[in-house]
Amino acid sequence: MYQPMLFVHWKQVRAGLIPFILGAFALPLLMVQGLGVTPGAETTSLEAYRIMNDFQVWLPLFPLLAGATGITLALSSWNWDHQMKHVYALSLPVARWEYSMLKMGAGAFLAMLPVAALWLGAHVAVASIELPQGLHAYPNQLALRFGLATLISYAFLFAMAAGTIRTTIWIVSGVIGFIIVGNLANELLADYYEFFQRTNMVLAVFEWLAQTPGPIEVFTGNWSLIDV
Amino acid sequence: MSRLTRLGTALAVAACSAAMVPGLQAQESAEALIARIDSLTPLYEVARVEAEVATARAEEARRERFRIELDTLQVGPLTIVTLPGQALQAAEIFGRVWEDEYAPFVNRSHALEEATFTFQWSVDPVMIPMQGRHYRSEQKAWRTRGDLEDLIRKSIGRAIADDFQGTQMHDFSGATLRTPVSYDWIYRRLATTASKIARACLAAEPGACWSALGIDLGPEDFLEWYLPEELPGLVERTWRSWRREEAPMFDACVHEGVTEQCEVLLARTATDRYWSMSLTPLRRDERITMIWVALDMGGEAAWDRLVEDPEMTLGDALRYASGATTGELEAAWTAEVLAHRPDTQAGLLTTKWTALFWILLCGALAMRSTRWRLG
Repeated sequence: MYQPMLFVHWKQVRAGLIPFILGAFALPLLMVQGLGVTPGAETTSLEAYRIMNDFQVWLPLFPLLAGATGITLALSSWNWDHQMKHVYALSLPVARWEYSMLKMGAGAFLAMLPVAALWLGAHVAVASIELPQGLHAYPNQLALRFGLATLISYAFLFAMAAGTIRTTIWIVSGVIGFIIVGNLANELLADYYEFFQRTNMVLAVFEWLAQTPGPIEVFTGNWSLIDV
Repeated sequence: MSRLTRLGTALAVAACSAAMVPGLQAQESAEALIARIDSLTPLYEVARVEAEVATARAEEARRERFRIELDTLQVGPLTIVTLPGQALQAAEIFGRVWEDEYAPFVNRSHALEEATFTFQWSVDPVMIPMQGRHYRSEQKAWRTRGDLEDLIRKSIGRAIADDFQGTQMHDFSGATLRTPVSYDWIYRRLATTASKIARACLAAEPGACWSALGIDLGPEDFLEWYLPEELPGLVERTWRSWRREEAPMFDACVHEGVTEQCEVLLARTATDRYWSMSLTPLRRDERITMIWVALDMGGEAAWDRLVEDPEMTLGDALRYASGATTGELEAAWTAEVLAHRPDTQAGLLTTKWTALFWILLCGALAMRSTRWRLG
């Protein structure tokens, strides 16, 4: 049952996924283009300065690519179910939970394709330059982070897309409502309680989400392929 | 119309009249004008006195409007002015910063004795009127205690560095002795500074870090610090664009890589008291950490020794304060920095498990969807 599910998902998503696979492979190579020193030449820390400086503009592209890959996979995984009004799924001799698990597993496997491409691209990129003294390459760690970020965004969107549109609207409205009402409530409560004078609830929640053990913490970590 | 305005108008009219009268007639009119201006002098004096009285009254009214009760307290050598309700808090926070970071090596500081610090941590801080040398540690209530402690560290650091006045330490430290920035950051700077001596320092070569910090070497020795190919980058970072006459040399150095031109420009920068410090491979934060290392090694009264003799060179002052040799000081500083190589992938293991948890949770929620349920 898993293989047909994987095949169907691949057929559904391949046109959208191939650009991400190519992008994941190319991004590390683009990052190091023109950097580093010629192998065999004396390494100068001028290059180290330049590498650290020039890298900064590229770094946000990694989490963006991971997020976009995960979203594409998640939306495409339920796409044909929604289009066919779930007739195909209901005709299968499997329970709903089992069907969802197989579907999620198929998407997670496909998510590994851009991750593998990035891992390969990162290794090729660091092999193509000689790093100055004091700098080190982290291709494995970057690929791991990319993989986790892709899977997280995939899992979130997968869970949302698995539900009804009403559920999705509830979740999105809840987040927007919390931002608006939370800020207003904070202002009001600050007049009565010192705690709210010192704490912005909305900001605190978003900080928690972006820090351990928050779900988007993986996006806010260090995405450097090359660092000290 | 006030008297002053009237006087001004009269003078303006008189001046215009004088300008319009030509030749000899003007000569006669000028004498008449002088006589007229002289006749106005008593009137001007009356107006000036009245204006001064009015200004004084307005200033008094302003002071009255902003008059607030204040408490003054003493924490070690620090004199702190704060609002009455915040004295205990001020004493506790200032006391902690002082005891932890300065008390171990400062016996006496003339600069601190003359300085006053303000303290406020309120929702709506008021203006504490101060005169003389003072340092403000005031912040809104929603900022954290850590922020406030940093602010106090900066204030004390700026205040105590006044003891450096007249010594070489003044320029070396950038006139502040705040708590060192993170050693992780210093390691990062050391690893990415475009200088051959910084590279040697990173490799822990003896004498390299001492030299890279600009101790016992002046900005005029910049060729000791940089390779020829590193000079254009240095010029790009240190050249001041207002020196327009140097623009052709700048272009030749930076864009065409003519190192002779770079050397000329850098030699000029080296003669500038302020900008010359930017030629040193390691900058203010790194230099301040060396002072801290010396103070830590020197222990009690190390500060007093550091500022004792304004005639001492940087190296001598650091050695005297620490009671250590150049090699020992440098080794201690280098060991501290190298031990702080940042773990750039710290937390990735935790992130892995956290991410796995959220992925499984989302998977479980997806399985629990009600879409297929009937009714």
